[in-house]
Amino acid sequence: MKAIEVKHLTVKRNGKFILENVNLSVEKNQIFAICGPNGGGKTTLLRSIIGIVPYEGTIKIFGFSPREAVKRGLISYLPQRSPMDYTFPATVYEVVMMGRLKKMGIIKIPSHSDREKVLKSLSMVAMDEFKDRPFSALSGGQQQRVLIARALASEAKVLLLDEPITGLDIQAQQVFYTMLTELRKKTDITIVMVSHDIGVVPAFVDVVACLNRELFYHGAPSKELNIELLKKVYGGDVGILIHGHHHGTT
Amino acid sequence: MELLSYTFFQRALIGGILLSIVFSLFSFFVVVRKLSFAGVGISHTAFGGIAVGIILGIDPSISALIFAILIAIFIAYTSQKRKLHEDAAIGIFFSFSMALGIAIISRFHRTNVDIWSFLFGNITTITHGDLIFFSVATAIVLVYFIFFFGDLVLIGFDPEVAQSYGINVRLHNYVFMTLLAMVIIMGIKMVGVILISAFLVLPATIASAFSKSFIKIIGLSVLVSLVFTVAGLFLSYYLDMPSGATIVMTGTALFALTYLKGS
Ligand SMILES: Nc1ncnc2c1ncn2[C@@H]1O[C@H](COP(=O)(O)OP(=O)(O)OP(=O)(O)O)[C@@H](O)[C@H]1O
Ligand SMILES: [Mg+2]
Repeated sequence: MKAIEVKHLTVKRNGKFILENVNLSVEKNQIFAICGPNGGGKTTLLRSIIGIVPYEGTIKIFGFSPREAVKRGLISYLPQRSPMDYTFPATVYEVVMMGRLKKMGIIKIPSHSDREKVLKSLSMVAMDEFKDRPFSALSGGQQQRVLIARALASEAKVLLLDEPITGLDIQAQQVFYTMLTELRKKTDITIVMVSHDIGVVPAFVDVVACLNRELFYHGAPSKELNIELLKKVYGGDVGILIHGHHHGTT
Repeated sequence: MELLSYTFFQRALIGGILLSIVFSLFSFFVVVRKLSFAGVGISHTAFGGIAVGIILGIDPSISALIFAILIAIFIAYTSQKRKLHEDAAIGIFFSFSMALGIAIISRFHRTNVDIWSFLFGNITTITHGDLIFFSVATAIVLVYFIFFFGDLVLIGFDPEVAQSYGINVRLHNYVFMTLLAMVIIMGIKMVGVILISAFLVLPATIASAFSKSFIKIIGLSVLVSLVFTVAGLFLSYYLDMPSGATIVMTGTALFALTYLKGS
C-alpha cells in the first residue's frame, strides 16, 4: 500500500487555482522532497494532506482519509512558519512531550514510555543536553531541532516537514540529513519534506516533486531533473539553485 | 482567631480558596495568550448585566453571567476572524455595558443595592448559594482542565500543529472563553468588576518569574494565588476595606517583591 496517494488534487482559494490536478504517490519508507518557487503551493499540498484545507480530488494516507489518518496519529506535521508563540514558557522537554499528546490516554499524563521516547527523540537531534532549558531562550536553529524532535516523538508513520532546514547552519543541515537517513534505515517511517535546497537534496532523497500550481516533475532526483525543467518550474535564472546555494530564509 | 468562627468569614475563606484555584489555572492561559484585555472586557460587561438583573428583579449573578458569556463568545468569534479592530470592539462594547449599568442604577435608584460591593468586592456578601455556585463552577473547571489541559497548552503554543493533531481549535476557543466568563462572574462578588482582571493575571505573572516550565508555573500560580487571596481576605476584615482592593494590593505587593528581587 502506498504511504500517500494523491489523485486529481485541486485547491481553489477565492476562485483562484492554487493546486491544479496534482497526482502523486509516496511509497512507504521513502524520503520524498517537494520543491518549487515561493507561492507554488507546497505548503498548501501538505496542509491538504493533513486535512486542514478544503480540496477537491482524493487523498489517502495508508488508505485512510486525511481526517481519519490524523485521528489515528499516522501523520506528524511540522509547519513552515506557524503562527506559534516562540515566547511561550516551556522547557525543551515539555515542548517535545507535546508530540506525545495523541499517544496518551484521555487524561494526558505522561507515562514512563512517553518520557523515554521524548528523551530518545531529543538525542536523535542532538539536543538532549538542552532538555531543561527554556525553549524561548534557544537560537532559531536549536528551536527548529526541538520541533523536529517533537515530530519524531509522535511516532507517526508519515512525517510532513515544511522547510525543516530553514534556519539551520550548514553543519546542522548535514546532521539533519544524516538523521533522516538513519531514521529511514532504522524505522519504516515515510518522510515528505519541502526544500528549496535542490543542490543538496539529490544525495538524500528518493523522489523529488516539483510544484508550481501543477506538478512539473515527479521522479528520481538528478537524473531528469535538469536545468530545462527547473527553468520551466521556477522561470528565469535557476543556476544559483543547482549550485547548492544555501538559502538562509525563505 | 475569633474571626474564623464567624460564618460569613468561613464562607469568604472557602470561596476565596476555590476562587484562587480556578483563577490561577486560567491565569496561565490568559497571560500566555495575551487575553487580559478580554478579561477586562468580560468583567466590565458583566456590570451592565448586574444592573439589568437588579431592575428586572432577577438574581444579578444570572443576568451578569448571560452578559459575560455573550461578550466572551463575541470575543472568541472576532479573534477567530482576525478582525483588525477586535480591541476597539471590545473596548466600545464593555464601556457601553458599563454606562448602561450606571444609567440604569442611577435612574432606578435602589437603596438596597450596594454598587460599591459589585465594583470592588465585599466578603460579607458571600452567601450559601454563592458557595454552591462556586463549587459547581470549580468542579466544571477542574474536569475541563483534567481532560483538555494538554490540548490547551498545544493550542497556546502552536495552534497550527494543534490543528494537525485533529484538535478542534475553534471549538476550544469558544469553550475556553465561555468558562472564563463563568469564572469571572464567580470572582466578582469577592474581587469586584473593576479589579478582577488584575486578580486574573497576577498569579501566572508572579509565578513566571520563578520558572520557564509551564507545569511549574501553573503549580506555583495556585500557591501564589492562595497566599495573596487568603492574606487579602484577612486584611479586608481588619482594615475594613473592600476585599478586591486588599487582595489585589497584596498580590501586587508580591509581584513587586518578586520582580525587585529578580532585577
Ligand atoms: N489562507 C490563504 N488564503 C488565500 N490564499 C492563500 C492562503 N494560503 C496560501 N494562499 C495562496 O496560495 C498560494 C500557494 O501558497 P503556499 O503557501 O502553498 O506556497 P508555498 O509553495 O508553500 O510557498 P513558499 O515557498 O513561500 O512557502 C499562494 O499564492 C498564496 O498566496
Ligand atoms: Mg510554504
